[in-house]
Amino acid sequence: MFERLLRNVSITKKLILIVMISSSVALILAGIFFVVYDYVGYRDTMVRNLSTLTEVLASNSTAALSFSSKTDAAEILSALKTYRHVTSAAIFTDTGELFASFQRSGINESLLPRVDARIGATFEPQSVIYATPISLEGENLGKLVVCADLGELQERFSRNTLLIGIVVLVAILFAFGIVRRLQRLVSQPIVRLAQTANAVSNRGDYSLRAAEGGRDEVGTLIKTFNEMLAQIQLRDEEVKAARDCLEVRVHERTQELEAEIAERVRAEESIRRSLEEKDLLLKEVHHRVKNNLQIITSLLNLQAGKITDGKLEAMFRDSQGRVKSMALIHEKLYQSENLSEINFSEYVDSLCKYLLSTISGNLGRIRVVNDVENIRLGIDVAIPCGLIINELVTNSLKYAFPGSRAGVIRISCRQKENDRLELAVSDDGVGFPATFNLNSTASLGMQLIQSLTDQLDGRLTCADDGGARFSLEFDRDRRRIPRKEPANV
Amino acid sequence: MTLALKAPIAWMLVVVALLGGKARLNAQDKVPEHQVKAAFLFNFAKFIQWPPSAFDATAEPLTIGIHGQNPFGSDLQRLVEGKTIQNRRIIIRESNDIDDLRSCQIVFLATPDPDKAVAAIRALKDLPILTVSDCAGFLQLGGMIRFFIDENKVRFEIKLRNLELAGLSASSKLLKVASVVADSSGSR
Repeated sequence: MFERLLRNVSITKKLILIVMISSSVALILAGIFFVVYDYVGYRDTMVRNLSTLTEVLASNSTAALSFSSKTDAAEILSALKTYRHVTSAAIFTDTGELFASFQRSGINESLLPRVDARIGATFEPQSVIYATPISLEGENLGKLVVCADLGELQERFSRNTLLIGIVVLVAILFAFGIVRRLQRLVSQPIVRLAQTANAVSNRGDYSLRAAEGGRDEVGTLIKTFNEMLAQIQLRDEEVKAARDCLEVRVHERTQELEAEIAERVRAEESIRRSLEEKDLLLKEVHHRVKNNLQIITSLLNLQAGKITDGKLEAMFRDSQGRVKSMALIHEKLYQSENLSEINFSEYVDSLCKYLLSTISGNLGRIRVVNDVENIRLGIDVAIPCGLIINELVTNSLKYAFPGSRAGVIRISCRQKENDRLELAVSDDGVGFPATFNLNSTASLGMQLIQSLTDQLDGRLTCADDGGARFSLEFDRDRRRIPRKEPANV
Repeated sequence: MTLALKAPIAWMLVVVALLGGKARLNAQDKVPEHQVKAAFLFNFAKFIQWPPSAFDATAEPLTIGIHGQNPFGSDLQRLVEGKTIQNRRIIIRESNDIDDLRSCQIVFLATPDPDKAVAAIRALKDLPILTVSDCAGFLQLGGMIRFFIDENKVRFEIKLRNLELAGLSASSKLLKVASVVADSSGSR
């Protein structure tokens, strides 16, 4: 309970309280012991004195009793008046009759000696009674009873209690004064340590140090605490240094990265620019190629206009178609977004429109149906395919619909499995002549087709089922196929 | 204490006193004179110191001699029976011949006649014997203790000088109770 009460009290007060409580208890106990010891000792002395006095008187009164001299006995008892705490006394004969008595004036009747008093000392609240037998030569003559007042004892007890109380009080006050000074020896270093710890905790300043103490436990504690602070401070500085270093490194690295990123952005920009330049250049190249091819076409056209021989003129017209089909590819290329692929269906549309326009007097007699799927092709594939379509459609226009026969030329291109494409050109015309052999034809058109098919590493088949039908299967991705020079065409 | 309890105790004390056959001196007025004197005679032995020569042997009884007509009857005999003084038994010897009593320690001279008393004193002179009598002028005749009556009470006087001459000494307590007769002073 003590411990719980004192727990939140300051160490100074705690020390003072502990010392004061223990010294007070010790002083009070000592005081009580002294008063009780003195009381008991004084009482024993009183009883001893009283017993001696009584025994002497008893011895002295033997003759008075033996010779029945009451006056003598009374005279002996009257000597008691000099003993001021003796209040009364009486000699009784062995038959219990009162033989002689002594009584101090003003004594209560109840305090008078009684014949039945017990031998020895008997304590009453206010008095002590001492009784002794009177005997001589082994013969019991009677009994002497003496009463003594204990007032003096009680007075002494009260006086001692008061005195000791004052002494204890003064001693406690002195002890308080001393402990108030001396407790600092213990409390001061602890208080200072606590203040320092508090300051360190509040300010986070680890450079603070508690004042050094002695070589006792508190001194050791302070020393250890200071050492701990030093260690923390050191570590703190190290951490700070490391953090600073890290920050510098991060900063450096960030700058490096930023520089790198800027470099990349610049590089990208330059790449983009060069790409744009390349696109532009490519577009320009395609445009010029197309224009040049267009010029060739125009030249061929002009040249053809001067030719009177129909056969020659037809050959010119064929060449003109072939150049046109290539010019169209380039045109489509520079119109396309990425300059490397064209929409094949749109190309077929344009090509067919041109081819139909070359036939005089075709007023919807022959139609071309474009069944090409939405396929994009690279220039490597698109040019041979365009030339092949040009040859086949030109063939059909020339030979499939003799006279005024009407018909439909169907062009399809569809995606097959494994990235292969199937290009087919068919018509519902007259079909192949009886002598037609795909592999042994001498016409330039067919040779061209064969050659282009080889170039595509494709497979060409033909069929006659109510019209001619050519079908070419090839790999779409030309990269997988070794490039063949188109020079041998 | 109630009366009912007090009464039996008193009665018991009386019975004990009667059985013991003690002569009670305290109520002197009611006790016959010779009984008081017998008790006194016995009590003197307690307060007197005899020289070693008074006894032949250490275990020898203390003898009280009565010279002449015994005035105590059997009272004295009863009184001393079974008692010891200074570790000695007490015996009573009666004799009309004073020489028979020379070995006694106390001799009571039972005679009112001074001449007879003188003769007896002379016969016992220089012996360590306490002489007691109630004969008038006994002390002046060389006696040691004389009984007398004062205010109806038995009292006694002592002549210390005569005791000392016989080699006896008396306790101061005895002297306090007695009337001491000075050497120069006459009879009371």
